[in-house]
Amino acid sequence: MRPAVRRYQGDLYDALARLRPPLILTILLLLTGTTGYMALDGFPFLDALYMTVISVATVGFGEVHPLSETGRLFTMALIISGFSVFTYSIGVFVEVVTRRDLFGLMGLKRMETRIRTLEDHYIVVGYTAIAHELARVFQRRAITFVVIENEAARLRRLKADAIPYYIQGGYFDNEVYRRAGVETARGIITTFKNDADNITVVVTGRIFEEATGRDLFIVSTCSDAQAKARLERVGADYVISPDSLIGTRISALAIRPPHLGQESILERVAFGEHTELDVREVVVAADAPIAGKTIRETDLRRRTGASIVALKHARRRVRINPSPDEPVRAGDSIMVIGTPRQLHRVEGFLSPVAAPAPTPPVPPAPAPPADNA
Amino acid sequence: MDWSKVASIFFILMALTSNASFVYGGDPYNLIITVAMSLIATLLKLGSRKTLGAELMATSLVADLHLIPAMVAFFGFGNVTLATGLAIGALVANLISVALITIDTILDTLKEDQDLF
Repeated sequence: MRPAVRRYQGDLYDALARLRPPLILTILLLLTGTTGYMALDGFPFLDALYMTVISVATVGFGEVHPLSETGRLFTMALIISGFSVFTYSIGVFVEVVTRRDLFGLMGLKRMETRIRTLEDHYIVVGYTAIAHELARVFQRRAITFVVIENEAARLRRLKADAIPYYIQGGYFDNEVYRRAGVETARGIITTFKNDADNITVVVTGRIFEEATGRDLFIVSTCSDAQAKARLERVGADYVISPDSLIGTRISALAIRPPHLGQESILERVAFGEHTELDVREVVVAADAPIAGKTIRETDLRRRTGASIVALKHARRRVRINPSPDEPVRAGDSIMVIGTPRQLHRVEGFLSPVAAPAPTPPVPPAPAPPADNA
Repeated sequence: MDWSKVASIFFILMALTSNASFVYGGDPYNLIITVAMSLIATLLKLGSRKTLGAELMATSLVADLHLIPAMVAFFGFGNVTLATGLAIGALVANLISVALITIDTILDTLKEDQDLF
């Protein structure tokens, strides 16, 4: 596996490298001054160094030992050289700090170092309007993600939103994906309006998957059904049409409108700003404690607080809102709903049941998609 | 000609030769020059993108951390034996540094040849 590229570190070192010439000149000046005073006027080392420093810094302290005429000429030359080096150094330092944004680069380097330690994070390609909403949900639910962005306007928005991890670079540049930690990522999310861009991101993700041998969960948006088919063909795990999603949600509201002047409970619980509701799908392992029992017998609701809202027996249709007497067998998939804490308890309760990888925690849809039923 | 490479190798070699001079002759001027050259060599290696950049930086730091105490021992306490001993340590580090820069140059040349074909 290739080591991750650290571009911000390189940029920082390039900026710091500008400080080398003044530092080298200062060292050479101290060397010349110290050896000069030692040789010309027989100063001991420490006195010679002290004399050099006070001369170079032009502080105006008195001579530590009487100076010969040659020593005075030497001191004058040293003061003039010291002043020139000092002025030059200040200029370079100001240039590095302001024009090269030294402190900004230091911050970016720290961020890049932290990104290298991330695991199971999502890579969000492009900080679009959808990605902006996605980032809000991810931050609220403490899901780690790295944004790849290259456009100045979106970068400004991203910084204004205080996105903790981002990489500035091309959306389809392999090096940028490596810097975003694709080798340890859980998945890639692309939400461009242009389907061709989404297709390229999906293909890039699949290429990395092949190279690293690590499964990536790739989610993409699409403009229409044709694009959805193409994206699925090139390897997207899940393709969502924002238009279709919005239409479904509005129709749900239109069919069963909330009371006038009141917010829909569904809106508040499922899509509210501070909702705690989450759904998760888990596969029942052969040695799971609930395997072979009915939903009632599993006692999941009382023990964890979460509820089973859907069940899918192996090779059979999904049962929405299954009966309490429905048996749960090994290999079945169950969908549980609850708060993140309750869902965490479910994981412990079902141990050693393994969740299907990956299972992104997304807010529940108003109604299960028809093709799942 | 790559002048930054010339400067870098110049100061690394200067640090080595002045260090050897001090170990051989015990002259205080040589020690001061060695320290200055070694510090400049370290500055030039800082943030180097060479193949063996980290190794070069580490050896240079080792040399500095021998030479600065050597200077304190020599001028501060007049302990010539300790100063010479530390300078010998720095000399070893500087020799390794020269060996590393030679290997790095060979690696760079090989890489350039690979890029050409």
